[in-house]
Amino acid sequence: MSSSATGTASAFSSSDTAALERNTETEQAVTFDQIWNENHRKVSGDWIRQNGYKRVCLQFPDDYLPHSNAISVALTELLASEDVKVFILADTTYGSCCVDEIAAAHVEADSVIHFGNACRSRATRLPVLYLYPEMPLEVSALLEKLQTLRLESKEREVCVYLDIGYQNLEGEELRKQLEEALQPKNLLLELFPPIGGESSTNATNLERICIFIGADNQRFANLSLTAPAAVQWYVYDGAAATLSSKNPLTAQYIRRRYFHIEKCKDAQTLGLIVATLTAEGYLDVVARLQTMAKGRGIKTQLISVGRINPAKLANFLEIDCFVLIGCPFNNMYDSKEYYKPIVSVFEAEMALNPAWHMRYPEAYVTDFKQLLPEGRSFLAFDVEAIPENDVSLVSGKLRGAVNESLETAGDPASLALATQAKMALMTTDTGLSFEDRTWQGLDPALGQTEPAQLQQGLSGIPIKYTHQ
Amino acid sequence: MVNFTVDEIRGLMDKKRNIRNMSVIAHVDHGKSTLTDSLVSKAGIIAGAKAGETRFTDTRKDEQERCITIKSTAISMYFEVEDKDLVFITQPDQREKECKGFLINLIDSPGHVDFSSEVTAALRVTDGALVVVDCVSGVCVQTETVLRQAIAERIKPILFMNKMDRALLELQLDAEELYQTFQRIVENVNVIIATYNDDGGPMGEVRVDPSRGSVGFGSGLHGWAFTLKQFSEMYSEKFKIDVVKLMNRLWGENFFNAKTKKWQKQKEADNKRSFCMYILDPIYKVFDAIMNYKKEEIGVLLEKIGVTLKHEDKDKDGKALLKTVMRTWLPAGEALLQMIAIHLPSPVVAQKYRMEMLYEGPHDDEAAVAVKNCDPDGPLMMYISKMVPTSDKGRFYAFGRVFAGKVATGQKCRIMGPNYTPGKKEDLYEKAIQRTILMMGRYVEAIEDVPSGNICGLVGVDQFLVKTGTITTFKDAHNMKVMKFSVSPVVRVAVEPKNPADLPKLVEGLKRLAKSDPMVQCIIEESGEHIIAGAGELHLEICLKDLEEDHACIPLKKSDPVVSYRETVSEESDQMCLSKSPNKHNRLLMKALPMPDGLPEDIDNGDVSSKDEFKSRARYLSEKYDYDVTEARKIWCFGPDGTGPNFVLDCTKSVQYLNEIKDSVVAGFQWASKEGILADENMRGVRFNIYDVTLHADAIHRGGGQIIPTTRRCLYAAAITAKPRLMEPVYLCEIQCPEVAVGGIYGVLNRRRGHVFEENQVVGTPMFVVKAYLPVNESFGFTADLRSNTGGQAFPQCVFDHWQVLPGDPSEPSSKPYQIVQDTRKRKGLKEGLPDLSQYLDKL
Repeated sequence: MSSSATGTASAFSSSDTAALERNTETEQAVTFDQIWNENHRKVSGDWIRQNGYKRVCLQFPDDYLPHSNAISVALTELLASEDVKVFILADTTYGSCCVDEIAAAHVEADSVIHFGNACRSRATRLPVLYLYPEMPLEVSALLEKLQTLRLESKEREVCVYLDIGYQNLEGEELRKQLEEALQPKNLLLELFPPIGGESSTNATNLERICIFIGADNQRFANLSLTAPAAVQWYVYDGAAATLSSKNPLTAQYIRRRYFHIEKCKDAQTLGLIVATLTAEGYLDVVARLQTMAKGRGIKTQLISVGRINPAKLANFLEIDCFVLIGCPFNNMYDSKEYYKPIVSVFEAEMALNPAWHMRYPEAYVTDFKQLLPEGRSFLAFDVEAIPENDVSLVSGKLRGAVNESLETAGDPASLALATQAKMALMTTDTGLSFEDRTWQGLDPALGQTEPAQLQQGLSGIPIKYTHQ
Repeated sequence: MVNFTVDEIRGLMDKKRNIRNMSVIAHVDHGKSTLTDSLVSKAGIIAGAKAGETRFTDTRKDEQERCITIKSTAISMYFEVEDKDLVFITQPDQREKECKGFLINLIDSPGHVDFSSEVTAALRVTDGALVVVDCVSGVCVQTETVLRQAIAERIKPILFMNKMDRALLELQLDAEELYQTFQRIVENVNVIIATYNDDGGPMGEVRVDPSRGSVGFGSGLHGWAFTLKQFSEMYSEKFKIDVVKLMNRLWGENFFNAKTKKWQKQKEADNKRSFCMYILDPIYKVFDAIMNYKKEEIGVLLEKIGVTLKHEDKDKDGKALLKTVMRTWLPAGEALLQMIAIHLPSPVVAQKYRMEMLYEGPHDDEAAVAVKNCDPDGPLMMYISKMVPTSDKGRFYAFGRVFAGKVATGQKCRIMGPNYTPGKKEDLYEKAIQRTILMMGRYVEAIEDVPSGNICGLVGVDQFLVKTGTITTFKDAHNMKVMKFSVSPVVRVAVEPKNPADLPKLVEGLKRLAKSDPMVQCIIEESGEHIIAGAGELHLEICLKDLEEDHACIPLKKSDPVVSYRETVSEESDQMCLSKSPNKHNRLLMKALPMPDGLPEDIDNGDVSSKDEFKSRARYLSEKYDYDVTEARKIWCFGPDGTGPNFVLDCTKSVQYLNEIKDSVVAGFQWASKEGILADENMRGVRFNIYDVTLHADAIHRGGGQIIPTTRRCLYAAAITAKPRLMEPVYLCEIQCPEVAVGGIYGVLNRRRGHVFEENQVVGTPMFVVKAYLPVNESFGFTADLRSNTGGQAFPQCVFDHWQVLPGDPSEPSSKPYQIVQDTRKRKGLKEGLPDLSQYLDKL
């Protein structure tokens, strides 16, 4: 639907269509040869044979589906002697970048081969083989363009990222060619998304230049936000063979997100949307967010609604702000169509963890694993450090921690309510907003209507009731 | 030397009838702070010779440099009133028996209109107001504004005619002219008072009257002042007339014929007005003798008026001598003190009639009764009117008035913010007061406890309040009423840190700034902009400076000032607008139409509000605005924020399940009216009618998720089809200038889309007052422009007045509104262009 250029721009603006575009973002059209060549065939065949898998799922993004049958047939033929069953997974629950282990479990698969765009969140349940397409790239044209940057790159550290589709090029040869073309002080060659979900190198030098070989797509947006600050970004579009410069937008983006962070602090009830069931550590994140919210007297509700849309979320009237717990490629929603704001785990962390108070993030964190203990951006949570009070810059009102002296006061009215609630099948203790509603369900009119007399009901089966 | 101790003050605090809480209010540059010095010096806090120059209550560096008061400053002072003056205090509740000491808690307030929120905060905690008027420029815009506010808060005024030295030395008015000037000012002030106060009301008669001594005359700068009482006392011996009777004779149409020794009621050839003869003549003589260096006369005169010069003053001459003589003869502190002690109400008197204006709860509950009686043994009721920065960055003293009970160090209190409602926990804290303190201008003094009727500061409360609040020990207490400001924050700037990594510091600084000023608004917008909104350019300038230097302490980038707009509609929707829910099973049908003129203002003022009883509200709407009564009864809600000047009206006929979706419609309406369709600005003056609703039979398919987004789309569609327009804020601008400059004013106003609607000469002066409406958007740099076009002779006062439709169709790409819409959208990071109706409107 979108050309990749507008797709990225939308990540930095709150344009109405941003979410729509992102949901349906398609890569540049791929041919069958690019996603399934000799190389792919060999790798997947070997992987299955060596591990002795018997039920293999093939997961495709939507735009690969036309080729899915051919690939499935090819693979079945290849493994005809091994008695391997191959399944095609089409409709993914959250995003095509994540391995859909739940769908795979429906066919009791023992392994998944994942095609196309991947977030490389570590899957917990099944072994996964990622197969990227192999896009053609004229290395000579690339080098020619890069030579124009030589002036800038001299005496600086240069980091070159390879997008999926070009990762097969990685190797000493390319490294040498790049060094020759750019003549930098130091050259780093990295894959994006990194294997295992974690980048191997850390920024050593803030004065660096980053080059992304791929296209100006959502992965670039993600990378430029999360990578440590760079002086200048360049994007080399592999298909069009063009080089364009991009300003680092992290600061502007974070500034924009501060509004939502304030909203998150203001919330009385947070909705934790679980939008991944595979990514490692999502339960830990949920637990962590719940603890932090509790420390501030914010209630949480855990919800899972599959792929989110405005209508689904607007059903949760009493929730003031949503936290989307998803994979790194699927947790930033910045659309005006949503009734209540949606923040990422990182933003929720900034709002709720007092350790982030007065602290400015060096880079945006899209991968929530980094926020857990042992993660790169982990900051310990200390309930004691929560400031007692704070002024909201959105509503201008004061928001405070739980007021213990009042909580324990316990007047008879609140006790009465509590006992009543115990009899109900389900309680929502979202408090204030419910009281403010005019419609609170059917009116039982207790004490105003006569209680009905008990009567003997029907018994037996409808053909012949026994009581008659 | 300070001639009182904290212990003396603490002692007096219990003598509640001997307390006077007062504020000094006036137009800018009429000499409030200068006059206040006279009292401060009488209390011994500053040296007498320095009074008038120190401006002790201007505590900030920039206040001293610019010679303008920015923040109101409180000071508590102890005075003794002589026995002969005590007899003038007749009402028993106005003084304690056997006690000469008086405690005056004075608040000096800023005069510039941009800071009038400070005045509001000062008036709330005081019972009386000293209204200062420059007798050369007369009653000005801001005099009227603050006086009106004072009366509305039931604050009793007394009047002081300042800058008499200028009238005598510069204008060289003769005695009769000067009397006429005084007379006119008194009349003007009384006209304003009469307009806003009902003599039969609870406050009784509050007119100011020179013959009763509630009007003072003098010069703050030179440190001298008098009321008729002083002169009457001087002459009463001689004439053998009672002081009070003589005071009546010394003002108004009373003439004395020196030859016949008879009083007359009319001006005749050989009689003279008593005020001129007995009061102004001696003063004129002293001025004339000293300023014209008539050595011999000086000696004689000094003897007559009973002034003996101190040794060190003997060598002085000219103005310096004049000052010394006048302030020895007619010390300003003394005259002011008498005016205050005699004419301003004690808390005991004032709280009787102020309680009903102050308390939100029932007027017969424990708290109300204690406030009414100013009962120090009742439950604590204290109102915090503002936050005063401490030397500890980010911390504030909560400044306010104890209306009942006692507030003490270590006492456990309930701290209730403005959003507290009895029975709920929102905005309520229970904490101990860390310390109670006495505000002494630029110093504070710790004090053990403070009983009812006094003004003081609290330490350790600031974290639980944003700007104002109520502090009480009574569990069922309601809030004290929230203050209503006469100005609104219509001018905004966006700030960002020069270094992006300073963002958290900026956010923290903004929070502090929001606390330190009664009115400033600090907001983060969805676009990521950090906005500071203030009353005017000067206000913003000060706020930005404070933010940069004191609160955030980081270098900032500031945008040009921008104004916020409102979105409205100009006609009824040209079609019935239908929107379907995402599942296509629910349909809403609505139209938008403009409200009649005056209704949005009525809603702003609270004359029509969501809290009204629906039947009486419907009656009001049908009587005043010709609304259909049955329809007007079915107003679902106001918005944005539940109170704004837009509403949704239910015009449906017997729709099933309608009551179930009301909350969802209300939520969608709050959302849409807050973020209008054109530029994401608030809506204003739009009425939405719901004509029909079709709903799915299953509750789950007509839940919030289906209805809220649909309502929003339908409201937008209705707005787009009703000829949407932009509204801009407009200042009421008053400009005072000499006649020659009037032409220049017209030129400047014309260029800035302003229009003059009134032009008057100030009677008795060569000055003109021009009143004009000026769009706020055109007002940036107006003051400077005006000065350069009138040779610096014109001085404007701008205060937000109303919203006005910006002529032009925002959908015409050549129009000005279109440009503004596009600029705003761009600034907010929205998609540029015009909203597309087809996105919001569905077909059946």
